[in-house]
Amino acid sequence: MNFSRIQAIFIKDYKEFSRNYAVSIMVLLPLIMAFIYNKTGVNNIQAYFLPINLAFTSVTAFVQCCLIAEEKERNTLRSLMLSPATLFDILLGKSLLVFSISAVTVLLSIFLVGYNPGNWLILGIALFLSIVFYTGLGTLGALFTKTILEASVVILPIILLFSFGPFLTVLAENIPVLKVAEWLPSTQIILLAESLEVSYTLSDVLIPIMTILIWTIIIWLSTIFLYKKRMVD
Amino acid sequence: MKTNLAITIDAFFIEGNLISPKIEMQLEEESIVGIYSDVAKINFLTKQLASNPEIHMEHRESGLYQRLTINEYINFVKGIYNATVENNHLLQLLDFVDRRNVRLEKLTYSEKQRLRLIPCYINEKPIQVIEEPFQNLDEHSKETVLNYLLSLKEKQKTVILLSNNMENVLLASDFVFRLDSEGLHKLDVKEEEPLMIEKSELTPIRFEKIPTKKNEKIILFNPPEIDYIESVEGEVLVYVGGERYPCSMTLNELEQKLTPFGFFRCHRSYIVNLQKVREIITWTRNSYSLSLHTSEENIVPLSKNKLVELKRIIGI
Repeated sequence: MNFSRIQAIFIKDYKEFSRNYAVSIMVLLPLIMAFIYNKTGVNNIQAYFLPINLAFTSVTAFVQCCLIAEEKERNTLRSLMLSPATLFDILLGKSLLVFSISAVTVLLSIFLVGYNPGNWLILGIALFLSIVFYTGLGTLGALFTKTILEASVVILPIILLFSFGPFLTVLAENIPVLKVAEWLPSTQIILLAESLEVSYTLSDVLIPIMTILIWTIIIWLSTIFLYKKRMVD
Repeated sequence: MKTNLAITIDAFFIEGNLISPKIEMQLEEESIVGIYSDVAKINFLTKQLASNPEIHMEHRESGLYQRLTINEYINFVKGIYNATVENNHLLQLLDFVDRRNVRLEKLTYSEKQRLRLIPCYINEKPIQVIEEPFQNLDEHSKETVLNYLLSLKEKQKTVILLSNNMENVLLASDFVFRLDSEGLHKLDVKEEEPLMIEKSELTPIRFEKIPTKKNEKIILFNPPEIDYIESVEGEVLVYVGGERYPCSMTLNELEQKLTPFGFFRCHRSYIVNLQKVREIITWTRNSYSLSLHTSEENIVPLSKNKLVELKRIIGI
């Protein structure tokens, strides 16, 4: 781990990201959605979290996936791997950039949709863990993509499952199998936010945060494991 | 004091076929070494060399970040290699001084190829291997790359150039090697002028090598290396390992010189190395060819009246 290398990768990726409009325009998607939701006058937690959960997938996971896929597409990853920079440096540099972009987007979405959470600290922890989780999801997705085009296809099921997954719980009364959707990180963060609005107990807070934490640990462990396996050649 | 660096690479087989033989190289420090070979052997070599911790490998198709400007790209590479080189110095070396704020996607192919050489200058490793440094470059870029390679030498680095084009290897190298399935052969490359002086002295030296001329340089081949010699429109071409080299001697002179080495004038415009003949092909009653046992399938015509003489030599 070397700070100057991570910084070089961070700056390089920031310039590449900001000049690649095909990818950076995705940042606007949750913001526009939050703005429209605000204008239509919704005021329940479920609706507030749609643009936020969309920001997690269409910005955090998608941008991370694209940044790595583009390195593969342009053959630059091989040059990077031959340089003194390690895979860890490369991923950390990118993840830091994606984390910053996501944090700004999510906060702007919350502001635009007009949501005022009951407890900023507890929700902040959950948002932080979520961004780390979706960054890992994007990194994992990049393992199976070689071009930006493929990345934008891979991201579709992720958006469907994780951003719109919470709506599946509504259908769970008719189809009991869909009760599993309750344990998605995107559903858990909504449950957390709902309990923050009323008087909450310790377990109301701990269960969602622990669930998101477990998702994060699992996704990063499997990502690191698969990268070690696949990147050897 | 110049020390030698040694590199050893094991032989490489695919399904029992020899792709690349075992190589042992002694490299002189601060020199540019060119290795000329075919694509399969170069690909294998690059893989083997890249795993050596002493070596920095620069591939032919290393990608560039299209949306960065030249200056930003240099900053990035410096960050990756923890280097402290003046940007201006690098820009001057590669002739990008007035284009530093141009994005890489706007550059021509030659300019991109120049840019990919930046890591060679700023990394710490003593040996730099560059695959195809001159391929498809325009004249100006070739000159720039040549100066760049010389400045690498000044930085006390050893440079190895890999190419499947002899001209490109000859352009910059101090030592030239040819890699074929038998191993690594050092080519005797001499500048043109000293040889001219030698000629004018008119001393009766017994000289057995065949001089050929390529790219203003004179290359001397041992007779057994030669596959065959052809005369096309008054120009004599010597074929060695699938590559051709123009020669200033006439076919008659060559025939006299080469007959003791087992060469045979099989046609009015061909001399063939009999050691390399694998098969005598009979097309019709009056038309014959010789098939050569070389890396590529070569077929040399055989005149009908020479067939009798050939049969006598072979002893059938």
